[in-house]
Amino acid sequence: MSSLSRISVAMGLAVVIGLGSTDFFLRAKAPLGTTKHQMWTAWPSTGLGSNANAENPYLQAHTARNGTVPLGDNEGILLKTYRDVSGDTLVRNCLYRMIGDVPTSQLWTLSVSDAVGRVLPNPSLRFGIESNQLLRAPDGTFDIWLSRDVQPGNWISLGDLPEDLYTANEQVPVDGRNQNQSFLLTLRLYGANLSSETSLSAVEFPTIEKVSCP
Amino acid sequence: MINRSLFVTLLIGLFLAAIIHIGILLFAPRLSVSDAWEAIALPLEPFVAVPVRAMRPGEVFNDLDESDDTPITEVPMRDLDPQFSHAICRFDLNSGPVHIRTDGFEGFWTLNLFSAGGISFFSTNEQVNAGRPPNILVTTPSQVSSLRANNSASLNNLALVETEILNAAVLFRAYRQHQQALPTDMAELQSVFYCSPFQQNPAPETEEVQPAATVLDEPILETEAVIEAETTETTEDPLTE
Repeated sequence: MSSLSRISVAMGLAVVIGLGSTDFFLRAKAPLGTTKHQMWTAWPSTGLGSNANAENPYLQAHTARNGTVPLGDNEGILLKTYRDVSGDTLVRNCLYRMIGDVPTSQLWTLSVSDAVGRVLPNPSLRFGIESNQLLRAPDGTFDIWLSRDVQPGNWISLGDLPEDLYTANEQVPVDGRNQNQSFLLTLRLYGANLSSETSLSAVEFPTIEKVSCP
Repeated sequence: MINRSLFVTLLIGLFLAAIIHIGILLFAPRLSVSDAWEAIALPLEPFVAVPVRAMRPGEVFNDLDESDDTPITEVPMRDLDPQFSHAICRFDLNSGPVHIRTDGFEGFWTLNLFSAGGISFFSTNEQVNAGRPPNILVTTPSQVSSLRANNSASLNNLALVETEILNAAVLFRAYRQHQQALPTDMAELQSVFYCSPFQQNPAPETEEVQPAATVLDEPILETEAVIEAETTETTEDPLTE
């Protein structure tokens, strides 16, 4: 093997593996630094804060790439899921039910967006629900329904636009296929004293189950 | 021999790949052009609050047309809580400390100071702030020591955030409650959310800090007036009464 071909093999490998692996990690829906808590992925704040993950370069690069300002250390805790409790991707055609309690916090909100965090068009303006407006049963429990069609009780709309209009509007398919169909569920706990990973793993999180699909 | 040289080649290739991987990761926050600082905060006029709205499907992230001369009156952002309303304001500490506060806003809020890469360096919320509206002074350590040297009483009631980061922005998140939200109109927002150059109350010997303060012009009077109003309780608040 000539030295020229060796150099080109080494360079080729470096570029392909170097760029490929970086891209892979930055595209990941749960990049290194996030933690899994039952069906939820917790996103530590990416900042120059006190917790160990704050300066995680994967999370920081992820934040920069996505153009977001995630909740900071003292703002709250961000939990996301793309899947229901049985591991299936959340899709906007189905009816889902969320049960179980949410960790104690001053305020929490549950909201629906497309896979990259853009709000789904929704004339009823039911983009999400918050702890303060929740209808609870006499024993304090609650369930939240997620579907396109209006549901009695606690309901979050999964968007109203017809699918074809959606596709026409979509300019950049980010994060793979079924962009129009799938959705992201985000649970934000504000003023929660749960910042450390250990305390997060000690609490129960709500679960989303699929009730029916057309 | 051939196997060995191939092995060395692969090893060198992997080593270089690792360097590329680490290099991109470490420099991503600084080199990125589509992060929240570079694409959203930087094009904004400093010290002027701008309403932030949720990005809609079909909108591309870096949609702001730079060749367009029309002033920015709102910015789209993704991954925002729809139960909150948001405002953003860019500031720089070169001309002195910056005062971040609200007027007539009640309810739960959180606030995030960030700079390059959208990386946060300070955050707080209503609970941490003892249930009060934000009243924050962002300064450099040297600015705060000269303020203190002047025995300035104007630092009372202010939460101090000391940082060496001179160029940054604040993202203010206000909980929507009882029909209350931050104005989506930029002009209206200016009387609700402020991030303005700070003017201390005049103290006897203020020679050293004067240069920084004299650069600022009319917002000073406004700021001072409202600080006084705040210390005497915000009773003129129309939303709470």
